[in-house]
Amino acid sequence: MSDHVFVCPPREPLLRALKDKNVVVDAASTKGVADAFGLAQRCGAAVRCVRARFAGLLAEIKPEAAWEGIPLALYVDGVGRFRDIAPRLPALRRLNLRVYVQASSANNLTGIRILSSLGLAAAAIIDRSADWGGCADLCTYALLGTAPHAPIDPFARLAENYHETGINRLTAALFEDPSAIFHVNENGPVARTAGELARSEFVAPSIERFLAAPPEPLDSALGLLAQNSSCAFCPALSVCLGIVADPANCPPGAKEFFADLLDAVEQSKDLNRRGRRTLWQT
Amino acid sequence: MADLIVKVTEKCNSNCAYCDVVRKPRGGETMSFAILETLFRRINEFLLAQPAEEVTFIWHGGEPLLLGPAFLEQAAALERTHCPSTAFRIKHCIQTNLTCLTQEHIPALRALRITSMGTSYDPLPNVRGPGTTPDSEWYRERFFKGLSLLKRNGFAWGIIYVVTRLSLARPLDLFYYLVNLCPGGNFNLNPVLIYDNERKHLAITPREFADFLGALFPVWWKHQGRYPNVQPLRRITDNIRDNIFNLGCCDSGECAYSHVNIAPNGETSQCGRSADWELLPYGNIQQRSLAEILADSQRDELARRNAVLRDGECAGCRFWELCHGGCPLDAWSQHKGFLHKSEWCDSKRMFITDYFEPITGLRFQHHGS
Repeated sequence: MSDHVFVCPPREPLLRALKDKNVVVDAASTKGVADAFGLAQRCGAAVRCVRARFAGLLAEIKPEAAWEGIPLALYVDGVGRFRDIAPRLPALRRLNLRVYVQASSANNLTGIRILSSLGLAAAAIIDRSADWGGCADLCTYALLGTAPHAPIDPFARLAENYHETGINRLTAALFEDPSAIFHVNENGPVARTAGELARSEFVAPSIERFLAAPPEPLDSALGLLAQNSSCAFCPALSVCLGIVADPANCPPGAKEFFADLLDAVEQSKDLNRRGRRTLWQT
Repeated sequence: MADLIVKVTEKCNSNCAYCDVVRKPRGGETMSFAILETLFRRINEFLLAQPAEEVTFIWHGGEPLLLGPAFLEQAAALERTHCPSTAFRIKHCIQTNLTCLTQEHIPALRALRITSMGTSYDPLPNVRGPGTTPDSEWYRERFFKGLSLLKRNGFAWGIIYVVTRLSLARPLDLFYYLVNLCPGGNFNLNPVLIYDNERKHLAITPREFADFLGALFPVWWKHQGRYPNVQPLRRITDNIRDNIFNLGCCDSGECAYSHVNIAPNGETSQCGRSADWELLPYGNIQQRSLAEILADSQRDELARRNAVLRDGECAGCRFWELCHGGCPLDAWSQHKGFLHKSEWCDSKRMFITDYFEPITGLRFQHHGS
């Protein structure tokens, strides 16, 4: 089996073509989660997870019993009030769930922190619109906070796979990695990123053609260096890899966030290496 | 270990602003297969007579890859013919600008057991490239194509960055560029060495080089796990903190009997610079054996230099073990004699006393070698 992961709509011919391949089934809405998972399994795909969007707050969602056992990446507009989530907590905790929220507002970042403290895995969707200062605080909490909490991606995954002297792609935990995660159009062509999929910029006209001749891995860092863009001179290149796009107009605070992130990852690994401090006992 | 700097050609497709080779009055020669054959025979003789020895064959120029894959394949064939039992003790390395690397070169490089390449790059405009005012865009496009090819084929690589006056305004930018280019920081920062008046606008002083390194050092020191192999910072740290004395040819004081530069016409000298300045001629590889060249009596002065400096100009210097007076050719360029210290010693001393020791809190202890 190749290491590639395919984000693919729940269409039978596509999923059949991806038999034995790593697949993220893009169910679009929460209505189709169980059906999408069942279809992918019947087609023989190695299902990593089902990705679904809920147009509303997590507090408004009604978890279905059929979702139990399905690895679910649930995208929501926000978390909502704790008092509204509390009644749903037992059902949510029974799921194999990670909740994805845009990291663009203080409210959302607080929501992610609350979910994590409640033992629900969460992920901050970091893009150009991110609240960079808030993200820096969240990554510190995620990696260095001593109170027990569920993992917060993309920080937890970055720390887990951190390669100190190499490239670390922050967005891999957000289904974006142009060398490993590919996005399939509902008609079959394959793109390197969700953005390229939306713009119909494909690397292969079909899954079959992709599998017959996989594209060369994309060295994003080298691309930015070759363009001599301002990213090439940035200390955060090895982890940002241009996710904030438009290097000439890097959002204020982004560079500082990435610097804090790398420091927090290294500090966390160092703490783990040395063993966390334990308080005296009688 | 004998290090052979083999200038297979003096031709180059670039006209880098600080390079001396392309400015040589009688440049442009390429080594003939007859001389290359003689060279392999000489290496074989040497290795047969010295069973514990090894030879490093450094493909240098000019731009060695300009000669094309056929030349490299022919070299590999000559080695197979003339060094049947000793080839495993010959290590081939190459210093290339990568701008003419093609997929066709790859099998030929592998035939010479080359797994790693040394290269150079500068993101600043008009430093590297062809033309009177170096066309850095041309260079950049081809360099990155070559680099991409090299990475795709699984070769390791390292970079030499030459610090010029143009670099001095942006030390941290350049540092980050280089660590982005070479994750892990597999690069070497060298001061530009300018000996003519025509290019004084590129020259830097030892003080300026020390300050350039000093501007990077706090970042490197804090994140040395991220960028472990940035030279000379790594080496100086190894020397001072860990007592690991792995010094380069300029600082080791041990180059006297180990280095040979071989020009395209077979003429030999101590190193690239001594050949450029027509110093320390050791004769032609067609007339002399490698053993004779490595034992040439002119080398004795270089060997004697250690004792002369330790008891003279460098007496009492607490950094003696770290530089041994520096490169004898640098000393010659300033004093027209080898038995002097190099002015670049001051650069190392200033960096250590003004930056390394205050920032790290470590102090270099003289060991009395």
